[in-house]
Order: sequence, then C-alpha cells, then structure tokens
Amino acid sequence: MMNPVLLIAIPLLLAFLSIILKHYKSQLLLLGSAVNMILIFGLQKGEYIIGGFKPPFGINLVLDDYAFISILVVNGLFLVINLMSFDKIDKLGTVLLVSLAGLNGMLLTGDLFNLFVFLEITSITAYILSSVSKKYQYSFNYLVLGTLGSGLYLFGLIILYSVFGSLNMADISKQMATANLNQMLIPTFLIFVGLAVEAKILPFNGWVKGVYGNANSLVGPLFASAYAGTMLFVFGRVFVQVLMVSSYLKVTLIIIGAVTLLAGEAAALSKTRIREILLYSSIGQSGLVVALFLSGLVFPAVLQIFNNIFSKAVMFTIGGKMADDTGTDEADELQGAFLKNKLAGLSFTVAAFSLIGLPLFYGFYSKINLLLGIFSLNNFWLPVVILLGTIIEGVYFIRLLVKLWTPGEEGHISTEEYATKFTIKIELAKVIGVVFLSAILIIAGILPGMVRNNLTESGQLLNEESPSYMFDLEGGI
Amino acid sequence: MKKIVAIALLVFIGALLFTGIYAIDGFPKYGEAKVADRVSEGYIMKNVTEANTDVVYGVSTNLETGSANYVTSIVVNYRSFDTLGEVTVLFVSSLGISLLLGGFSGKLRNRCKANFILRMGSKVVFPLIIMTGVYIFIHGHLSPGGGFPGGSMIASAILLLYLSDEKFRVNIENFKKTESTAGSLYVIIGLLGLVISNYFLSNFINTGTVGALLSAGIIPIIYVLVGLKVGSELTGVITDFLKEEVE
Repeated sequence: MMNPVLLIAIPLLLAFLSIILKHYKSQLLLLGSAVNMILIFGLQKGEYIIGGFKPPFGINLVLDDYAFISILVVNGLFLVINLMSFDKIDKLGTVLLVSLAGLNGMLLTGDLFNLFVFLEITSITAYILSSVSKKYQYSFNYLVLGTLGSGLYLFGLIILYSVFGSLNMADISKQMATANLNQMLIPTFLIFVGLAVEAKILPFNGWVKGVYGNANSLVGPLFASAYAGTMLFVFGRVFVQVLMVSSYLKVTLIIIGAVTLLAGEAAALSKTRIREILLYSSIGQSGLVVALFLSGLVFPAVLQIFNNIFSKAVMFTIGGKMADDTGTDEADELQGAFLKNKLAGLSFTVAAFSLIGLPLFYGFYSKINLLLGIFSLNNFWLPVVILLGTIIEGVYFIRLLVKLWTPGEEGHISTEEYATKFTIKIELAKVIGVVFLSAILIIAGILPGMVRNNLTESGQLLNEESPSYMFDLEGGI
Repeated sequence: MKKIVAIALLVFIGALLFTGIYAIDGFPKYGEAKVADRVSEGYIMKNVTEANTDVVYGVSTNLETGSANYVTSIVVNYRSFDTLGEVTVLFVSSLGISLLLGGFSGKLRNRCKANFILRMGSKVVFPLIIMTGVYIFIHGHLSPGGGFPGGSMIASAILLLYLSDEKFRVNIENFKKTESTAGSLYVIIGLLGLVISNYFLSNFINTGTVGALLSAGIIPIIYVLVGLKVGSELTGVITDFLKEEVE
C-alpha cells in the first residue's frame, strides 16, 4: 500500500538532490513525474495522518475520489507536457519538481493552513516560471497580486482559527454547520478573494494577460492546465466541502463567476493574438466552473475542468510553439499555419471543438451535463449566460480555425501560396503529445460512460449524503 | 485625488473588517481566548496521542514530543509538514533569485574602502556571530529561536564580511551542496518515519527528558538541518543580490 505523501515527498527530495546533480535536472524531473504516475495507481483511498498526531492536532492528507481523480489528471498532464516540451526545461527542472510537489500537496491536504503553505510554494514556482518570458514587469505584477491574494487567504484563515480554534478542514466544516453564516461573511469572502486571484476570477485577474500571453510552449500549457486545474479543484474543495456560504453571498459569488464568464468570452472575441484568445477563454472557463461549484454542481464542474484543461494543454502547446518559432502569435501573420502541420492542426481543432461543446467531442457531454444540472436547480438565468458564452466561444474559435487552416482573402480560393511565410516545425514529441490528448477528448466524447463510471463517485462525494473520508475523524475537540 | 480615494477606501474597508470581525460570535477579545477550546491545549499539555496531565521540566520523560519550547514542539513536531513546506518556500525563492540574477557576474563595488576598524572588527565579530547562530539552532528545542533565526544569523555574518571586505567572495558551490544535502536529509528523515512507524515525519527516536540538550527525538536534528539550510540559502541570496549588472 502506498502512502500519498510520497507524491509530495519524492518530487521534493529529487528537487533538493537536483542542486547537487545539476546536469541531470530535466532527467530528474521526468523521473519524478513518472514515478508519481506509477505511485498513483498503487494508492488506496483513505485518510493519511502525518507525524502520527490525529487531526485536528496534526496534519492529514485526504485521498477521496475527488482528490484521486484530480491528482491523476494533474500529474498525467504534468508528465505529458514535460515530455512534449522537454527541450525547454533545462534549468527549470528543480523549479518544476517543487511545483509538482506543491500541486500535489494542494490537492491532497486536509488542513487549511497546510493548503496555504502549498499555495505559497506553488505560486512562487509560478512567478519563477512566468519570468522565463523575460517580461519582468508582468511577473512582478503577478507576484504582487499573488502575494496579496495569499495574504488575504491567510487573514481569512486567521479569523476562522480565532473563532473555531482549529485549522483542520473537516473540523472547521463541522463547526461551520452550526455557526451563524451571516457573521462568517468576512472570512469566507477573504478566502474567496485569496483563491480567486489564482483561479483568475474577475476583478482579481489583472496578472493573467501578461503572464499567459507571453508564455512559451512549456510554461503556457502548464499554467493553463496543471496550475489552473489545481486551483479550481482546490476552490471546489474549500467552497463545497469546507466553508458554508450564506445564501446572499452565494448568489453574489455566482454572479461574479457568471460575469467573469461573459467578460472573458467577450474579451476573447475582440483579440487577434492566439495566446490572448486562449487566455481570455481560460478566464471565462474559470468563471463558469466557479459558478458551478457554488451552485453545488460538483460533478458537472469537475467534467468542465477536465474539458478545459485537456483542451488548453493542447492549444497552448501549439500556440506557444508557434510563438517560440516565429516570435509572433498574431493569427493574421500565421494564416494557413496548419496546412504545413496537419496533425497538430487537427489536434488544435479537436480541442477547440471540444471546448465549444460540439457533439461527438467530450465537451458536448460536459456541457449537456452542466446545463441539465442547472435546470434541475430551477435556475434559468445561468443557462442563458452559459449558452451566450458558448455562442461567443464558437464564433471566435471558428474564426481562428478558419484563419489558421485557409489562408488568403475572403472570397478567394485559398491556396498554400497565401500561407504564412514563417516555417513552423512542430517536433514529433509535441505532435504525439497533442494527438494523444485530443484523442482522449474524442474517445471520452464517444464513450462518455467511461468517464462517468470513473467519476460519479467523485461527483457525489462532495454532496452531503455520501460518506467522505474527510469526516472519518477520531476524537476531535 | 486618486490617492485620497485610495486612502478613504482603505479606511472604509479597515473599519468594515474591524467591526465585522468583532460581530462574530465566538471571536475572542484580545487576550481573552480560551485555550481549552482550541487545539493549543493539546500542544501545551503534550497529550494529543497519550493521556498526560503534568509536564515537569527536567523530570518528565518520554512524552509524545520532548521539546521544552512549546513553539518548537508545534513547528517541528505537531505541524512539521508545514515547516518542510516553509523550508521549500525559502528554497524555491532563493532558487528563483539565482535564476533571475545568476546571469550577472562580478561583485558590486563599494564606493570607498572600508576603514581599518571595520575590517579588523568584523573579523573579530564573525566567529562570535557564527557561534551564536549555531547555539540558537542547536538549542531550538529548549529556548526561543531555532533553525530559521539561527540560519539567518549565520548569513548575517557572511553579509558583514561582504560589506567590510571588497575582495571577499564565498565559494557558492559549497553552500549549494550544504543546502541540497540538508534539504534532502529533512525529507529522508520524514521517509524514515514513514518506514519505521508508518507516519511521514513521525518522531521515531526516544524523546528523553524534557529540558535536556539531547532530548526531543528528531526535533534537534531537524532544526540543525534547517539552520544549515537557511544559513546557506540566505548566503546564496546575499551573494546573488550583490552581483553587478554587466551589460
């Protein structure tokens, strides 16, 4: 039986060792993420105590279905992205190993302060990765906003500790059930703001444009899939299972999510650079997922996170690669780029279609699920917002795809001579990677039962009726 | 105008938070928190896993955590996983600084030469500061202090040498090796705990008598490692910051 703490300890150990073995940083990184992938399949669900002190006194790791499915996906994407962009790792090996430990820690921990520690580790690695683009001002902006956000999270947590006398998630959740929720408005809102900075929710997402918009083919997909997915999973954990939100605040926060969705999609529509379109689409998706979590629709939210992070991993890899090769990612200058890279273009197209939610692709299944879920809550304005967002999404993605597949003016027959003068050579590793990821999107679209059977437990788990390992506490206060 | 609005908003939010927080039932007034309602009591009485009524300095033996310093017992034993995280935070921050500034070379020059007293005086004080730093992290489980302050003190001694001697350079490779070894050993001690007693970072060594120098099991070992690691990391940070930007 494997202890999930190994998923944190092994990358960390390798990160420390990689300072001495400095010529093998990228190999150690691959070793670490591959070992993690193997370990995940040997894990057994349950609650794992660290240091031998029972919670709420000690720290525990919680490996329930929700945590299991999220670490599986995040570690998997992490490994695939590193394999695809192996050439870009170089000196970043140590940082990436630490970030892997941090991401796993955030997904597994059952303690709110421990979550803060891992949030700090993860965001510091993110600041470092964002500085790879050499646009230091954007990294600095990110650093200031991110630090402020984690500071506010800590402030909210301090208030919770003063009131409840505990930092353990399960313990706080238990005590929160009997507390007066209107009085809990301030700590809840502070924690929301703290997580919203990293989850890219309006108006705390000023850093995203500079950081995502200049990310290369390694950093871009990592941010848009592994990091973004983790932040949203953590958001779901904290706001569905740990904190109780009073109904007024809940409506306000759902509206914030919906506004983020529309604003993100609208901004994406007005952009012409590939990575900018993608980053605003990511912001919109985060808003959608947050609104779903707060509405209590955990299963559809998890489905939508998968849809978003798998698609974005493909699209940011290709978008980043184009920018790495040509120095620009203006769609106009890259017209017809996919004609020379058909397989990569096909994967990009599949990812875009899945994100829009066209039938036969995984995104359709996810969108149907979330719409049905919202209708079952008798909420009729949110589906309107989501469908409107989907239409905008369809417009800009299809416009982008047309540009990248068919060069030339409108009304002319497009031939290769109109295509971009730049030569973009997407390496075999990247092509295999993106084809693999987009194949998952197609297979999961044709056979959604496969996803559902592996996921329903995770979807139900955060509901009240079903048992959760998080609440199997011995003792307590 | 912008500044006035900002200040007004800040005051408003501050007042809102202040009144809002004290309106929460159960939010204790300053100095009136009841320890008995909190996890703290278990930490103070050292009775989280075993029944224990009295902790007597120099007499009680084999407690669940043998540290005489409450704070240390929380930081390095009850919540040691957080400390491993904080050590990682410092590690990755210093790594980030060296990635950002590592390309620069040369050492920042002082405008004028340090005078005789500073040069000689710092050489006299240097071993004393190092000794105090080492004392602080070795006694982390007995008296206030521990690995983080002790390590910072060691780095401050190096900073003093940098300021007083223009030609002074540390061999950063050796510090990196120390940092890496200390960090790895921290994780390995954690893994040993997992192997020996089935819990990561568990205190698998006999904790001895409260108050003795050789007590508290793995706590002093971890604090020595943290002290060495923090000292060498901050030395690396200082060295990087003193680099001159060469065009």
